[in-house]
Amino acid sequence: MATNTNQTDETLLSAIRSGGQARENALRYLYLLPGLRETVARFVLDNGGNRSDAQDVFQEAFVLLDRNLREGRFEGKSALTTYFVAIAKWRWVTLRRQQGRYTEISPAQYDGAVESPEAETLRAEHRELLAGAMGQIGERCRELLRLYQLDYSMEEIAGKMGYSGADTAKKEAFRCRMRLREVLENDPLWADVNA
Amino acid sequence: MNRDEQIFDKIEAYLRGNLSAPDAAAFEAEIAADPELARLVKTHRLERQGLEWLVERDLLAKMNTWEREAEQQETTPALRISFVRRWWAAGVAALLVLGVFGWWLLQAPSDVGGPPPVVSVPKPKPPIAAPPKTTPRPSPKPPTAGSDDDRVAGTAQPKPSQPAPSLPPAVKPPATPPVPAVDYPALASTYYKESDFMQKSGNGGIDPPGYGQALDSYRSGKFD
Repeated sequence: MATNTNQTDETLLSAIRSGGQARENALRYLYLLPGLRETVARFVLDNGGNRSDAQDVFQEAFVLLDRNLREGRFEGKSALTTYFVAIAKWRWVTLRRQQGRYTEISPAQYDGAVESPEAETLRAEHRELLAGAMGQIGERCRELLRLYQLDYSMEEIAGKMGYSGADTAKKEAFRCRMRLREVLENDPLWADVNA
Repeated sequence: MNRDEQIFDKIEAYLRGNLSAPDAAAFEAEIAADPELARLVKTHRLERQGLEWLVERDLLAKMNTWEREAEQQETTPALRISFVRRWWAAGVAALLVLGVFGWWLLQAPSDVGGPPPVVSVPKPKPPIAAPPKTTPRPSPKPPTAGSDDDRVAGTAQPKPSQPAPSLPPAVKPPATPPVPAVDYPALASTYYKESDFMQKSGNGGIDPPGYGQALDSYRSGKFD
């Protein structure tokens, strides 16, 4: 499936990697692209899922697409939408196997000629630990760390968060990271994760 | 920048893939030789998963917002049309109600706040002048003119077996025009004779002076 978009894959990719409002606009464009959701839903429905499964898989695949694009895992060997559908199919097959339901789908059916999705979702025990820790560091630290993770520059973070400059933003980012580390290391689940 | 911050930045650059290949290889050798550094890298990697969790959470919220916005854009025109239709229907309904109410007011003015209906009791009329218009009872023998039995039969109530006569218009009072003044003395003069009222005198005649005086007093309004 080719990317039948008005925007080229290169434009979208560049916007997503640049972060900020450009990233959000590009992701919104892709998310609402006609036909994309239906393609994923058809695959899920044809392979033992229902409408709710299709919606979950579509959103999880979109999260993975965003991360893979930001981390440079997409090499541009296929169209962006083809890559996304491959991630969604791979995600549904993985979920079915985790549920103990064997699905008669060969890898060629979901990733075909495109590169491997290489998508990983957070493990359940990590997700629980991290969600608990993030709840204890405060809203400002959460927002600052989110911007930091999205590769906003320290100048941009200072502007958005109201700091006096990049140095202050950098110090605040470090302080928030140390706060997060302290919370994590004091969490009872920490030992299980590090085992 | 203290040493902790320097180590932090080095680990961050390594995990983000920002180190050159030789620098990355050298750093990996350090990690392998230093358990404390290896522990820090592991912790750092988990923290980055936490940061990714923040991004994921934000993106999921945005996806739900985009879906709602798209649904609103799809449903807004239909909603606008149905809204206009609803107002049209309400307007037509209001006009109908007003129309029915107005028609009711015009059709039954006496039922709403008007004066109470005047039920006029038919005045008793002399049997000769206005015999009741009842259906004559079928009689086995033809009526005989001038017989007493026929007069009684003409004023008697009909028997139950007979069809009910039409009721006088008491239920729905007719429009009551002003009742003209009745000249009772003239009527009396027309239909009655002096002999119907005056006692006969002993000699079989009538007392003309008394009757005339009474008639004059009545005509002049003296009823004492």
